[in-house]
Amino acid sequence: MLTARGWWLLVSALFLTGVGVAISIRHGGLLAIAGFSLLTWLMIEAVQFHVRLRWTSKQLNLSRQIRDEHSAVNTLWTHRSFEVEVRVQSSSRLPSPYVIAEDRLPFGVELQGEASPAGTTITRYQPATIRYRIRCHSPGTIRFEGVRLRFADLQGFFFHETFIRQPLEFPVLPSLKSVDSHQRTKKRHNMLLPPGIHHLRRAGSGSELLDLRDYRPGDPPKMIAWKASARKDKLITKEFESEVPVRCTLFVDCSQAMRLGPPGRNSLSRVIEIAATATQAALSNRDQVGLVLFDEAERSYLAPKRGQRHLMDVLRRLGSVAKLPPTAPTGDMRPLLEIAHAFAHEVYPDLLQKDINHLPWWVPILYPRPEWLRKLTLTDAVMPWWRRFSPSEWREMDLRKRLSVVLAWQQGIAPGGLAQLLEDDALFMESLQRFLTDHRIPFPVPLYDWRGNYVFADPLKIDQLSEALVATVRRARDNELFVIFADLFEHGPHLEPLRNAVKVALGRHHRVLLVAPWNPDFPPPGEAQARPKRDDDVIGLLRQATIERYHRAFEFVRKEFGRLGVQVVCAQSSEPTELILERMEQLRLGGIRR
Amino acid sequence: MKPSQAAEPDATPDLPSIVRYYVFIGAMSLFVLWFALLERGFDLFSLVPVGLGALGMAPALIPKSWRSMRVLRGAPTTLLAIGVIFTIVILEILFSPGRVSRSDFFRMTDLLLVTGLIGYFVCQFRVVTLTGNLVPIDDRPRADRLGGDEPESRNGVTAKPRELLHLAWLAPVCMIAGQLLWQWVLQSEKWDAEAGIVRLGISTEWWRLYVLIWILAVTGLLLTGAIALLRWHRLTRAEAEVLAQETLWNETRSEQRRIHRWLAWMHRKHARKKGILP
Repeated sequence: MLTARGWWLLVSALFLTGVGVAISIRHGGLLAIAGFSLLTWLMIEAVQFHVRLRWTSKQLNLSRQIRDEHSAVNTLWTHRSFEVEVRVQSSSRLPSPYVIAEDRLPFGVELQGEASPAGTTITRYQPATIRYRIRCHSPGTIRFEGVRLRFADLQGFFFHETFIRQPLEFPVLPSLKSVDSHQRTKKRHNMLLPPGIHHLRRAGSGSELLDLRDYRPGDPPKMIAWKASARKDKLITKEFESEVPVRCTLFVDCSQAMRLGPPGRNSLSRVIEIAATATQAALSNRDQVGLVLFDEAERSYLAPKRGQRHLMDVLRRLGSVAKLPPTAPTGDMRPLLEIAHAFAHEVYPDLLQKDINHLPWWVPILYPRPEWLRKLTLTDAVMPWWRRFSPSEWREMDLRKRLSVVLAWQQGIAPGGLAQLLEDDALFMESLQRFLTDHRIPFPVPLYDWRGNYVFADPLKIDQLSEALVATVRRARDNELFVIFADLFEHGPHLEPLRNAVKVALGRHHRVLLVAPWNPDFPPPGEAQARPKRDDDVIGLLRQATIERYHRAFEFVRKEFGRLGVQVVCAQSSEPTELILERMEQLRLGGIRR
Repeated sequence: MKPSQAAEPDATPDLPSIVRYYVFIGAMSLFVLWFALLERGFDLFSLVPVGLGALGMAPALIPKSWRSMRVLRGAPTTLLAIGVIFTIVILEILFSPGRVSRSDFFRMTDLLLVTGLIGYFVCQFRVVTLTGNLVPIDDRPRADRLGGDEPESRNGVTAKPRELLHLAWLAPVCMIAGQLLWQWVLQSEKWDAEAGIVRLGISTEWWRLYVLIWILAVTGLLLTGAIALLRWHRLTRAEAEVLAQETLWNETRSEQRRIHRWLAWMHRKHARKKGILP
């Protein structure tokens, strides 16, 4: 591609040559010769640039390494700094044109300082190397798409942009926090139980005496309390306490409603932060922690265990769901189209080039989409022919067609799928959302459908949670703690299955704690909310109404589960983590005689 | 991520040595150009294009520490360089003494002028890329930079003095090519009736212009054709797949459109029945 600078010189050289030839009869060929020489120079530069570009750009490859202070790593941690090193190498014998290599920073990652310069000519023996430091603020997964390359000749007359795609995903785990715990992790006296084992006031095979009872046939003779038997003149059997580990199972809601909001600042991120802290605290006490992740469609179960490997497994699972964006079946296509096109232009510039992917200008004029496939606007109703010549309509059609080609290629849709994407809005929206989700790009979703119903209040989530809770109770052994992190605010009439499941858990002497996610922009329950300063502040009034509605929904959930003896806390405060640890402490101490 | 290098290539106030070399060679080329213009008989006017050229190179010499002169560093140097061409054209039209000798083949003035021009333009534009911006600025907002790209200059540290050797063969090659092409235009006038080619009564001026257009058109066609062929030959797998899909869509656009509009209508009908759509 000729740059503006190149065009200026080309036009000037053509002008010089043309004038030189025109006046050559009277003035001689001085200008014509100079013009021809300049044109020859431009031609030499063009050939040199294009040959080197085409020959080398296909043979460039990429290697990436992320390091901490010591060595290369495959897993990142929040609030820690890592060095990224990217090398672009060539296997071609020809050197490349001058290239500016730039690594595309994943979404939600902070660049620390400046990147090292990476402008060079890449040869077989001289790669382009980029080094920089990054820091992640929220758990999840970060995705490095690849490296943007901008080629130019040394005069800046020719330019070509491409992108070496090498998508690599790295999990970002919540950072390990030093949890202030009063629990012992070392066994100090022989009288004490091994770390992680606790007394339970139920008959078992422990060493502490729980009770004496009448002898039943089948009781082992060694359990007979001879002195008590002699005193009572009948056989008495000793019962010992159980010695069991304390188990805690975390139920984390990863449904669409939890993913709403900017990644890293939504309800899911906060909940994951609490869950990760509680897990680390419990595992540091050698207690066992299990995890259930659920959404509207599916759930996954990780049995309670202890150990460092299990901790990593839990954190990895939490990280894998932390940055999932929400998706909606319907919505406004235009903002998504703009976001996706801006991204595709950055990462797929080679597939958007006009020579392999373009929309003939006359197609929207001759074959516009019929009204029954479009959202009819007022302009359409007044001047139905106007939209055929509307620039915005044409641009949208152009963006959609060129993106459809990329989507069809990226998602492996069959060749006829391109036409289908152009005609079917629902399919195109679904495809577009999947494209953005795959690349971890956040995008806006509508909260309410055309009837005004909240889109993300899916009762299937309650069913999934109830079934998961009952299944976990079935697997549970002794008294366990079940901590439910779930958004139940919009599910008022559909909470019955969950209430029943909670009753089952309580009936089996387990403890249940409900942590309700909270919008970080809203004041927590019990805190006074600021009223709008003016009566005509519509946004302020709407915000106030929303907050009041939110508080009412929280109160409703608290009352509903309070009746069952389940405490409901808000995730926004620092209360949940402490409360979980306190409940586990109660479970630990529950069996010890004072 | 921010651009991989800052707008100004060196943090040190001193110029990279390669810039000094280019400024020196550019100044020498301007001197040669001035000599050629004097030889052509432009006298004092010959200083006009040379002065424009010198102004184009001067901003590169302003130290970065002189903050008050920052405005001059952003001077439109490309336009000043292009202005050199236009002033030479104007001087030639207005003040040229006319044809000096009958032969135009390898005259000293032509050789000096071409050497000076090529040398100056190479140095001028390379200095611009070393101190200004190398690639066009993409000002569309990005996730990590809302103002778009920052100006990217060439990294002066990685520039090697051996690239100056490029000039050693470039100027003579361009000079010889210019002479040969001009001779081709002149020789075409001699394709008269004796050789069986009729000029159809076209005057010599117009004939030369037609020949020029023919040369440019044929060269342009050959060049763009060769570059396009090279592009097709070196397509990546992804580009080839996209091209195949595009071709299929172009060939069967009407039929596919008809089928998929009916399918889309059916999907909408189902969605309406389910209450998903109004």
